[in-house]
Amino acid sequence: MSAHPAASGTPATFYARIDQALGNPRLQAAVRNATHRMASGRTTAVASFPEMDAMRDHARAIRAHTIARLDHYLRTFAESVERRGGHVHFAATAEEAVRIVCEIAAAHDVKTIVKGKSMVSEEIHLNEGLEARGHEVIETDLGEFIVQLDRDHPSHIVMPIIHKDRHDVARLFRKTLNATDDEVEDAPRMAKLARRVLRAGFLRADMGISGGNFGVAETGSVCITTNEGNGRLTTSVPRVHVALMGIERLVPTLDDLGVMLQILGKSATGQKLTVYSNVMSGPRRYGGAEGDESDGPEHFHVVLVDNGRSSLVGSELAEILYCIRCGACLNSCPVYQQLGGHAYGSVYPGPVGAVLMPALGGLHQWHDLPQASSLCGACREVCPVRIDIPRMLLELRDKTTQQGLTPNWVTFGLRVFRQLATRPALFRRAQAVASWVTRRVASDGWLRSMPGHMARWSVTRDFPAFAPKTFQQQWRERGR
Amino acid sequence: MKDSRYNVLAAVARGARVGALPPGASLDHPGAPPPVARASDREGMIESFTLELSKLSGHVHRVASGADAIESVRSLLAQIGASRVLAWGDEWLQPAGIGEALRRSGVEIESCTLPAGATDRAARLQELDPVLVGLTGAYAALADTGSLVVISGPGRGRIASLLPPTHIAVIFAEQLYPSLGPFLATNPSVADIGANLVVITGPSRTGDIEGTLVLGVHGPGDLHVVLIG
Repeated sequence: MSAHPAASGTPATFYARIDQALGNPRLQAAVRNATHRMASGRTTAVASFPEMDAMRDHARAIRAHTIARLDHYLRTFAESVERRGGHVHFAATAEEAVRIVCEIAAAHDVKTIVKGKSMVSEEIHLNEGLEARGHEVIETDLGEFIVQLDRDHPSHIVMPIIHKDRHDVARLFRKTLNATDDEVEDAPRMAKLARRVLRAGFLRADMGISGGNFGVAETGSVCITTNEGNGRLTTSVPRVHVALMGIERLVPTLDDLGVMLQILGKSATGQKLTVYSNVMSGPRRYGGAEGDESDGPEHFHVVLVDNGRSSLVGSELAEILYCIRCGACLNSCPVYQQLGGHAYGSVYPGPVGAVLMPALGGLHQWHDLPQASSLCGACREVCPVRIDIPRMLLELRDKTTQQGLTPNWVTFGLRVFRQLATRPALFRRAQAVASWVTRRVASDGWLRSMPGHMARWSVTRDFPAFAPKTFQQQWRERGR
Repeated sequence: MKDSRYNVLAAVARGARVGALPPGASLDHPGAPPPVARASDREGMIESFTLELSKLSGHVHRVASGADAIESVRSLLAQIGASRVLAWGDEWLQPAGIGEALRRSGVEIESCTLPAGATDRAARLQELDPVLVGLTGAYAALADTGSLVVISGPGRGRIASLLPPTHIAVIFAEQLYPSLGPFLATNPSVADIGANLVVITGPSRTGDIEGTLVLGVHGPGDLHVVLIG
């Protein structure tokens, strides 16, 4: 999986992006406020639902079962959608997924496309592909609309613009929408302006593209959840609806969907249910016993995107396919809380991204991300389907070493240590030298800064000076 | 394209065949969802529905009879100053006769049926955009979340609960279920009834700008449920 096309002024390396994020107090305050708000919303919602733990266990079992039998459920889902008059397309790669959507747009003579929020469309860089073929693409989720106007990237999988404050948005609306001071006075007025602009887009759009939170195999339904209602407009108003989803997004039955919906809203934003849980089973229906349906899309397409996912089935990273994209692990992560999403440089940030990006895009490009964790386990605690993210981060770190992707100075340092540690005489002499040196350099018994490659480590940490006498020396003296 | 379908399914099947499950995972489907203990008596459900929807800034108007429900809708329309209403077909509105009664009092009722052709469809949507109120029934309601379950069909257009800034739904207390789980368990074939089922839990909202709650960003920001019983 590729990285975000670098926005101007974005440093190329992970460590440089971390420095940039840590040096931006406004960003840090915004991210801290947003993550704490969402995390405490979750805590309250979970506390008011005594069955939450049982529901989470059940949800995990559903996801485990579905992924273990994923080929069966993909077949069932495709047959069910087709039986209802919908079309199902499998895309092995991101490029193929973009090509399929472009072909659907061309076949229906589409000019304007409205889009609901879809992380998969970010992953495959769909908008660039569609715009290159001359289609007008309008993001309709308020946060995504702002991201699109600013040629920015989402920094959270549920709340795309937690890195911006209202002044940023006001400035942007003045610049790009010629908004008056009155129209950008406060958040409600800015939302009203966006509604007006976007409503015009909905009414002229020929095609709507949505994501898919869940696909129900038995009934051939696609479920998307939104709070704003843009998801409903996207999938109801235009003539053509295309739903994009990862191949892992399935659940077997509507009962199972009910379980997922009950844990998703609580984990994501602290809502008992998201405002609109929208379940679509095929296109507008004609010729039923009571006549034709009043409205709805004439054409219904589902694009199932693989893009690396099938290689995870049955692997030690398969568990990441259980993810229902609630964002709770981001909100609870002490690293994400400090950095926000952009520092990760990836479509999926935070703990889930630190597993998903190397899993789908390869360690060669993404081996830095699994290092960005203290392995505190907060992500595992809050995950609604109890994904063991720390375990997989360790797996990925192990693989990083095996593939020789560890930085040279670390490998070199460890080799030196091995030479010393396996030769007792040499080890004793090295200890004596280290003790002598560190005690002379230390102030109040602590090394405040270190040379060379250790300099970065010591920016936020102090290292204690070695004791005057080693353990072995003390042992020998006491023995006598 | 057919090649990708074959290849993806083959790759998934290969992984599933050889792969080990994560610790603690089982191959078997876990069966029915865990029970959720909620009020299931009539008064308890009405109370819970009213409380939950109010917490989300929705409004519940409890009335004793069909005639009172019509009166309640009429007075809401008068408050809003709406002379046009985007509504479901008469045979689907609750209580029976409400469509006729509103027409008699001078309300213009717009049909929510869209033409299939691109140009006609766009023109009709433009016409309907200024309508201030959408009027619908519902298939069911959920007490513990304050939700409406709305299913599309002939005479039951999706746009009636979606395009106008105010949505009024009239339901009977008998349509209440304790929560989503029991509703799905007792109605296993809801996906066959219509192509679109939506669970509506409160008015449209966003917190995208600094977490500030804003109602009515795309869908109706004003949601009224007239509850008969």
